[in-house]
Amino acid sequence: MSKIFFNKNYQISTKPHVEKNENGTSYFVPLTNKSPKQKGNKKTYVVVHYLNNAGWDLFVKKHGKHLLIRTKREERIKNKSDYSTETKIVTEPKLKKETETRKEDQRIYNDSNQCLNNKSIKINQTHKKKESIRKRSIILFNNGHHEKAFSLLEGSVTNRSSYKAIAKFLFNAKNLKLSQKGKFFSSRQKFSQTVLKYYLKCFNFYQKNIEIALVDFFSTFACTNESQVLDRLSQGFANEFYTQNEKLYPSSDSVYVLVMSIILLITYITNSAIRIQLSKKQFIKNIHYTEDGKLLPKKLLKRVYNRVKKKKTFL
Amino acid sequence: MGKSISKAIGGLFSSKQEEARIVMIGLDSAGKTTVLYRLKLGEVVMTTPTIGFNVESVQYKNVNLAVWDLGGQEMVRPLWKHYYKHCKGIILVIDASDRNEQRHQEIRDELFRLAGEKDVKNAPVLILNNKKDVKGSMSTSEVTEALDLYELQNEYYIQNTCATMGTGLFDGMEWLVDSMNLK
Repeated sequence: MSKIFFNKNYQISTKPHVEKNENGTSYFVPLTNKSPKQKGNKKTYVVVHYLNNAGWDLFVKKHGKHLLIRTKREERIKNKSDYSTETKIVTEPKLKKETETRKEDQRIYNDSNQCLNNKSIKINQTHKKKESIRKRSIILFNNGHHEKAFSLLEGSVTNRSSYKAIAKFLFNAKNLKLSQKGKFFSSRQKFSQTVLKYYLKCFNFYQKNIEIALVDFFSTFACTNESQVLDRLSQGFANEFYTQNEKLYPSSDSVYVLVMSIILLITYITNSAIRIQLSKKQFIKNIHYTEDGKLLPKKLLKRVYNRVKKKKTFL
Repeated sequence: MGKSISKAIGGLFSSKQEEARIVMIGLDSAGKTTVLYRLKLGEVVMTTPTIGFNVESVQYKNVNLAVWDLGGQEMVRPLWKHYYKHCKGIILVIDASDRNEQRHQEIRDELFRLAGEKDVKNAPVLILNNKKDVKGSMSTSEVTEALDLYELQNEYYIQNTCATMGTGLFDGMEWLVDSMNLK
């Protein structure tokens, strides 16, 4: 049974009168208006509950006629034929003549049809509302108010589902400033790190070359290349890359070492301040100095080195 | 062949110039990037569009300094090993307005680990006490105490700076260049 809430000013004065029928039960609820401006007008509200919790209708008695105010329907009752039979309950058969009741039936039927049409309009409106909220939160985010933007988008940000939603928003929204995104992700706070985790899950790294995946990820934002920031980002990246390619690499730590040394190699290639280049031998040697890097086979490292060297544009 | 010729020509033109590799360390948001770009360009650059560690060549007097900002978790430290070989100096950037003891411990560990490397033992350490313009920031003596600098075997010098304004940076660089062992 679903509950129906009336305006606070109204109070149920006497016990509702109940009538049972084939299709359901109808409650006649007399109400008094408690607000000081209006003196106690009595209105009878008719609430009709349909069988099997199919929904309810709310009617007001005015000038001896019943006007439909609100409806709630389960989806399976949307069929017109079902609906028309149900509206019959509303009428009070003993008090009125048959012709009158028929007329009333049609009125109610038309009203209820309008209600159904309104529903589809409402769905459109909620979609528009969501769009406008999205736009506003994009503007807020671009102006540096990250938390405000997210609270506008998701309300209170505490559950896992809201983290996911924020990550998806960051992944999909097109007009976000890259520098603001980078600022958010490079923050040391736990919140942005957990969002980063879910953000990385939006990418598809399966069986991709590691340097291409790396550039794909880093091209979606612009960060200060502070070593700690790069470290945090590449650690997150390595974890996700490893979970998507568990069979190809020995451990997530080894992927992390590889990522850091790829970034170092890219630094050599792109930075004009460095004159001497990193040789293949030195590249492999560096990685094999580390404990986790030793697990990586030389063939793989050679291939990665060659591919990175050939690729001239990073971002 | 081509390389050796260009080297020889380069040597002719920059006969008085010397090159030195410098490693820059410091916790995040201490102001390393700002210091680096202040030294290089005289202006503050916030974000860069490419991936890569921050490396800048900085000209000071007749010395060409290549300043590297390298860092990461313990397991990737061996990757930087061969940079320390030719490292002539260390720049340590501290956030003077940050009085968190845990953070001091972190940076202390990093400094002593680096200074303990074979090849860096004789390198001078320039400590930039950054963000000195913030009220209630640490003084040089407080920094010495917080980082246990009296235990440090390397030569060191603490310079108060404000990287966003550019004050104090070049005084510090002057000390560093003077105290480096350049052949």
